[in-house]
Amino acid sequence: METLDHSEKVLLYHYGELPEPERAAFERHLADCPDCRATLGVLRGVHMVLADAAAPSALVEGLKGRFGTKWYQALFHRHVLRLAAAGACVSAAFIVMTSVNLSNRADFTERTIVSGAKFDVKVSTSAGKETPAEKKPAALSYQKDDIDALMDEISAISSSMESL
Amino acid sequence: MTDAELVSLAKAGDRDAFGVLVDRYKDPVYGFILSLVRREDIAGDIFQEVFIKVLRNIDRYREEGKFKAWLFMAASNMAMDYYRKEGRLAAMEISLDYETQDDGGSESLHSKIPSGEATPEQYALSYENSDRVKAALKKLSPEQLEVILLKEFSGMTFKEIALTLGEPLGTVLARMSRGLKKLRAELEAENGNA
Repeated sequence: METLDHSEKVLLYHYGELPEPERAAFERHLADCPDCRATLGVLRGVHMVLADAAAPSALVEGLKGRFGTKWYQALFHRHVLRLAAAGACVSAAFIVMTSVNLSNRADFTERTIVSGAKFDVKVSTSAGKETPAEKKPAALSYQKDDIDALMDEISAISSSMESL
Repeated sequence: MTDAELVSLAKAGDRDAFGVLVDRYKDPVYGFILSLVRREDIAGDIFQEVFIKVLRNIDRYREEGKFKAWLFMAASNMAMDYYRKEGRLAAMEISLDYETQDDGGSESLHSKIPSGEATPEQYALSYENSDRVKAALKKLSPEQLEVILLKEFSGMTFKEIALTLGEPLGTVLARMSRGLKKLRAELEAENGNA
């Protein structure tokens, strides 16, 4: 507060925000300073000029009529969006968990088409064929792509819902 | 009932609670917008859009922020957008009208501006011609005008305004101080030209 100059103190004084010790000091200054008195006069003049604004009652009633309908639209809209988002999340979680379960099975042969290409993953725990160490990178890589694609799809759904 | 309590009820779907908030702030918000855009039809549109926007986003309101600050920030953003796009032109039109009135020989404000020995009240009374003060207000920068009008209409303290605008307190005070200096210079320049 001590770093303020008089042109700033006059603002705080006018709006009653100057603490008491400084207020008394500023009032003493005001008695000797025509510049600050003139600024205070401008502040009071501005206040008088702006004091008479009132919202027309027809405007306010029109507004209340608008949010009478918009209100339920907005609430309905929000609830539908939340339900849709929750449904998408549950579906996504189900797909991911199902995929992970499949990949964790000891023996499986999966033939899947991703983006038009065919991938054959043949895994067996029988001795002399593939070892678990050899099969896991392929299986994990495949799962990662799948999850990425799924996440992209979820993002796209979320974006389209946001735009609603 | 406090603003926060009313907002909680409004979030739960109580339309009457939001109506109370509208009634509580309709005059200062409308006055703030009208003082910026200077056209009743535009002010009315913005006024309605501000409250509809606040209503739509009521779920985002958090108790730690003051509803009044949030409401005035919405009003300020929308009105300032219009002011920046259209207000300059309107200010020029007002200024031209004003000069025409002077040529008509009506009693001038200028002769009423008191000398250096006057009290603040005498200075204030010399500004009773509201059209001149309003025209002078339009010559301020949008940022200077925004601070002055926020202070006058919102009833927020300077600290609250600084928080609302995301500016340091000193910046807000300096901006309003410069605005008033310019306002005073405009009014006194007219005095000199009379």
